[in-house]
Amino acid sequence: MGNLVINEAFLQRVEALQTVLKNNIAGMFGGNHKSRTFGSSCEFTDYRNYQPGDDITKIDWNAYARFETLYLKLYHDERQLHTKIYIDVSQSMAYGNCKKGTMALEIAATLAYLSVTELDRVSVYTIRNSEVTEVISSISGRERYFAEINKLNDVEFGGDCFIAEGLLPTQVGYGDGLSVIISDFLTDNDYESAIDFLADKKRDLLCVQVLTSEEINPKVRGKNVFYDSENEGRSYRKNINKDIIRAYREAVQYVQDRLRNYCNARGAQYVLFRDNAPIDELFFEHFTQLGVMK
Amino acid sequence: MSFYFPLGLLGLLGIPVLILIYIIKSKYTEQTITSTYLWELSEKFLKKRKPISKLTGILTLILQILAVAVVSFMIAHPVFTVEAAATDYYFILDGSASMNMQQNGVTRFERAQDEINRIIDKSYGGSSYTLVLVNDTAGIAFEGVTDKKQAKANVRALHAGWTEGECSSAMRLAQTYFDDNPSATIYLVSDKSYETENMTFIDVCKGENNYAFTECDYAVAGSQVTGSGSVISYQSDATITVELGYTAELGGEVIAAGQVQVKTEAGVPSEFSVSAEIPRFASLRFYIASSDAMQEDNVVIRYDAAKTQARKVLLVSDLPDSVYIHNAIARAGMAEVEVMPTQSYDPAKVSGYGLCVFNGYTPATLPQNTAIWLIDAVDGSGEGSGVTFRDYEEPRDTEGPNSYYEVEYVEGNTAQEKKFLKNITGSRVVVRKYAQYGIPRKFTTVMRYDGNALISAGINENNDREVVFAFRIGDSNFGLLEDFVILVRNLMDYSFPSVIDETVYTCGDTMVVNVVPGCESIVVTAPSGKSTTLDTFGNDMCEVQLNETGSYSILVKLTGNRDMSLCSFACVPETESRAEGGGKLALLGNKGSEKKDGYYDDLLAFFIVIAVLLLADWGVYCYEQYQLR
Repeated sequence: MGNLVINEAFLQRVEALQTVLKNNIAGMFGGNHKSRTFGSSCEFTDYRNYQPGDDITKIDWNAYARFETLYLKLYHDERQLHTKIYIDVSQSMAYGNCKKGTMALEIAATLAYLSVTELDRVSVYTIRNSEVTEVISSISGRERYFAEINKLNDVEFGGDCFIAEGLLPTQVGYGDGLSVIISDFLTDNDYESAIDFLADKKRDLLCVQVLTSEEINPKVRGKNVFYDSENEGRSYRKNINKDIIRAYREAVQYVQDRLRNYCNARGAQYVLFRDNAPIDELFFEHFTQLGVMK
Repeated sequence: MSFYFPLGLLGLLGIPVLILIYIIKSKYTEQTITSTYLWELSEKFLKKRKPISKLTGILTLILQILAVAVVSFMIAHPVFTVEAAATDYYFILDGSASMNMQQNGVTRFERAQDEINRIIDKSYGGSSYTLVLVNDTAGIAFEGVTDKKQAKANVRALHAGWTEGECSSAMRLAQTYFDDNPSATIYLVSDKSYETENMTFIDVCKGENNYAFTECDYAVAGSQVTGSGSVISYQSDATITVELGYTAELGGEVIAAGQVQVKTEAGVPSEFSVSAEIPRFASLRFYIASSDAMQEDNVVIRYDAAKTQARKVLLVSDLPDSVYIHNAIARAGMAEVEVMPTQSYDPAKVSGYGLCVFNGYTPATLPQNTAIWLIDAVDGSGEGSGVTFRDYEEPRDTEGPNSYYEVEYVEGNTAQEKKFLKNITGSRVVVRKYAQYGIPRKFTTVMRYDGNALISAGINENNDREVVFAFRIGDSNFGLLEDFVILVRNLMDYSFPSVIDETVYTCGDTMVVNVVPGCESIVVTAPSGKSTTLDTFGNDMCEVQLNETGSYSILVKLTGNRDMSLCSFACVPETESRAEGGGKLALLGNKGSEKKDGYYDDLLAFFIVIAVLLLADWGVYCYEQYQLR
């Protein structure tokens, strides 16, 4: 693509946000996300009776002086999670003047920055046809981020997108962070299995559907033959009139509802985003309202 | 159905062209889009369309084809035949003065015109229209017009008059039309109340209130002028303001002199009197200031009567019967009479007389610029009289019924005859002997026997007024009769004429304008400003029909660049101010029901259709272009 622009001012604003995760049970030590387990952070959580074999350095001697019973001080455990971002780079995301691809890359870059600021690791993958390609591999820290993020400019769009076929064979981890799928989801191909798969892996899942305004509310009228950018063998030939436009809008609504409902049923989050909307809107309105961030 | 311009149907060739354009224009546009997934999915949500909705795709084409077809038909101008729909329309339109009454700025006559034009509009083509306008007489305004526009324009060009009008005067014409075509539709349009038979009455009266003068006169005592008369409110009780004004000179500015309030009951005249100090006036103007339906009958102008000129008469006679003539002229004619024997008569010395009477004496040369009476004074030697002597007619017997001739008066049909016979009682007049004269054609005969004029009057060859008696007074009983005195007075008025006899007339009257001695021309100007030059040559008087209400001015040009200006006033007839009348008017015969085939060629329906089509086409375009988005 080569047109991804990192807006550092916007990134600084995004730093104020924090990812809200539900399945924070795993991960590596040294992160910034509080775990349900007790660990070695500085944040006091509770007391429990001393058991032989416990680390005696964690005994609260003041409590012993008062109650003559050995109590062990417990602290929150903080984990470093692994954010995995999957970008649909099929032809439909970037055909013609379509800005869906660019917008998907910007969303991915921003989410990645947000993760590294939370001391998490980030990987960015592209999905073309049935192939998942790692573009940015498990980076952490701002320096690595700025060093690696330009790789997104090398992403080429083309082909079809089979999300499930691409994701299922890959290692996605278990309960160790957030997975994000950015796509237009305009396909008959199976993406539900991928959602199920990630949900089974106890990963927090966010599906961002990016559509253009023309796709949501087409202005085209009259006699037209439409060819599919991903498959020229597919075409649609109609005299576009009021009735067809009405049916089209119902189809758009159906696609959105189907994806939203499927995500909700599996504890995943769904967000629709128009390519011509400012990206601030996605992060500061949609994500916060949805509870994905705070 | 036929067409005025069948070539206009060539416009239908535009339809295939339109279809061709539609086919060429309606190619599918090909384009590649990001994904056809949503479009294909939309097929599942597409409701089954009604068969008629399939037409919506070509709705624009259908509308455009219809528009081209309708325009072609409009150019071809179709004519639709409608069986038994047309008829002949006859309108009898009251054009009398009362039709000028108005309410809210619309006169009754204009309402009548609207009604007639509405009927014409509703009628089918093929009908014919005839209108009889009733003013002082009934006259055909237009007849057998078949073009609606022309008929309506003719109706619109008509104007109500200011004279009395009686629609019964049009019945002879209406009956003729009805006899010719019993199926004709005849309308009577008037503001008076009529019961009609075999025709339809349209009443255009709205009960407008009107005030008017019923009498108006004045009296002068020194510089005190008292105007008096009566006013009337025809519809309702009212308090009427009467103003008196005057002008110092003819045509001058009206100066208000006084006013009076008069309470009136509906339909009952109420007297008024208003006095003012007016040192000198040329006209007095009586005016009803209260507004009503007709302003024209709210004013009466009285002009100062023309001064009577001094009457000086020369009677040349040696006959003893001249005593009758002398006395009659002096007393009845209010003249100063000088009697001169025939021997003393010298035409060169005769001057300063307004009238020269020759009794039984024929002067060799008639004096000029003076009126002449020739009483048995024509024997062929007199020049300039215009009268030729033929023979004396004497009775066969000296006694008994055949010893005299019984003279008869003329019928008095013309205005001049009426003037001569004014107040004549018709007493039996006999003559023993008379002369047969050949008199000029323009002379007016007053008395005659057996086709011979015994007394006649007219303009002689010197262009002077002349009265010719074909018998001697002493040869008849006429000098002993009262009618002789009356006739002499009338003849004196003729010989010493004033330009007009009266200053106040009623519209429709005939004003007699006398051609006074030395008159070169007379111009009468009507209230509307229309001027008429009267034919004074060889005439002793002219008649002017007063068809307008208001002031008429009379300008008399006399020899020696002397002008004389006079005015007269024509009032609205009282019957028209009252606007009453009517009655029963019936056309005799049985009404028919046969009608002609009519036609309908109005393009209005086509204009409406084309407007609807274009509007619909525009609506479809807008709907598809904007509303769906």
